[in-house]
Amino acid sequence: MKRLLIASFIVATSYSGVVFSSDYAVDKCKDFKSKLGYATHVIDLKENDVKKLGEYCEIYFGIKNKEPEYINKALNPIIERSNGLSFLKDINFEVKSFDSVSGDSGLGFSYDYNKTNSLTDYKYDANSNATTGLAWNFSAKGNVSSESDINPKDFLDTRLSLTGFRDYGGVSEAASKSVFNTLNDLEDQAWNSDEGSNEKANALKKIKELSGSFLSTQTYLHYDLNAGLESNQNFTEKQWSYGAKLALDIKGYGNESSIGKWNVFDYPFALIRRLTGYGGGDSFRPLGSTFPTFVIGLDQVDPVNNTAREALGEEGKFGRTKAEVYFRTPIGYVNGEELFVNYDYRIWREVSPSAAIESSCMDEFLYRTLSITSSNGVFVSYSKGKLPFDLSSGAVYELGWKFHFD
Amino acid sequence: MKWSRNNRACKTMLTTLVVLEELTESQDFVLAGEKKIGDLPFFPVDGGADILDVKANSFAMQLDKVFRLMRGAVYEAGINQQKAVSSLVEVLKDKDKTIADLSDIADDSYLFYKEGDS
Repeated sequence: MKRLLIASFIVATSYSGVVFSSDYAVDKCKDFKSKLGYATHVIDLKENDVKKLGEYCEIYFGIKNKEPEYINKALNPIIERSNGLSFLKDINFEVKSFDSVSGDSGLGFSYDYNKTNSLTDYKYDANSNATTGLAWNFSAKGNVSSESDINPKDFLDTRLSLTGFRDYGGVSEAASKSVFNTLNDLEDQAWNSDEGSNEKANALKKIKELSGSFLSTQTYLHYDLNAGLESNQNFTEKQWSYGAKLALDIKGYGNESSIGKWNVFDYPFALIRRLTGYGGGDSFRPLGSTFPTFVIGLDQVDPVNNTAREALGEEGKFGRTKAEVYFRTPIGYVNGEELFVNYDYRIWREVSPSAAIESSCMDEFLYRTLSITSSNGVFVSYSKGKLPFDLSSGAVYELGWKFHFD
Repeated sequence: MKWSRNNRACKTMLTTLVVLEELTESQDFVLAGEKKIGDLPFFPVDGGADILDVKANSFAMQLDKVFRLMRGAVYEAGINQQKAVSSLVEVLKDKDKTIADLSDIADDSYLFYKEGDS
């Protein structure tokens, strides 16, 4: 029944036309694996060797079929061991496939480099129970496809920022040594007991009750001043931007979290969790710990090459607001794998655009992604919209992993 | 450091993740060590870099407060809050790191309450 509910949910929230990645490598190696009993008998292979051979087989056919999962599997150990290629780890290099609904597809990669250095020590103010800090940050990120036309995320961003934060609450007061001792004892009891035992369940229940009296709503506020270069992957379109950004992450913990009650985004999923019995819960409880995260910003944009704007006679600087909302929450388990719903919404809007810009629908760029992911890395995602510079709006399905829901 | 029931850092990390609703109470201890950061509810799978940065920093600050104020941990010699939080952030931003890796890095920065007694 639980599987049926989750299956129904997935079907209901998936868009029609979603295409799932065929598991070419695994299919090929199924034949290989079925012959393993014979192979081990004839050449006396150990079970571990056989397992490795199966994995090599999948990697071989995965690479042959240009499946990013297997290309990354093969590349990662090389990157780990090679001094010359270690920079690829620092920039989080990852091979990806890009598939458009028109049937075009191709390989590409993503990169994401981020370096932060503190300018001051963190300062704690006991009166407000807040910690503050200041730092500089350099970041570079983007997605590059073998063919730019099929790249749904055709947007590279390189940026230098002066950043600060203010973190309030989270823990309302310091506990006493007696509490430290009690929590240590309960923790020993919980994790040294048999899995699934009442002893473990009772100990964890007591830990959550005791901890709950010390936890409070945490508010994390991030702000920055930044300057950067935005471009498409060919650098045929590029622009400088200077701006400010504010981000807010609020979290509440435990049954009594008031933030949980305000988390209306989580209401439908709290109902699913209630129906699927997620986390052993038998009540309708929106989570304060999954309250959405918000980012807003204001930029001054200085186009260097923006052919679309130039065609409209718009060559000057312009103001732009931007916002992003991100939400992720658990919904249940399937075959022991935890399922999450993820939603990301990004919008860029020009401040006081000209009539020409408005009539060309270049005053607003919107991009959203809905995905269902599992703890096994399996996902289905749907992305729609356009990013700045990507003027061909359309739906694109990114298929990075297998879908093996059963 | 091995992921072990005899290590206070491992146990405190796991307990903290349960308390902060990143793991459910049914979480198996042994399997928890292999669980990836990208599979925790706080990790923004499809979000932009700004979202990941904010969420990782916010969560690292909360871990720091729980360790020190609720669990009696103190910083190791030569470590301050900034260094401890920065180390946690680095792991929390990497979807392929595991809870064992997070516990390992926490063990380098914090002396957990009665560590070594367990």
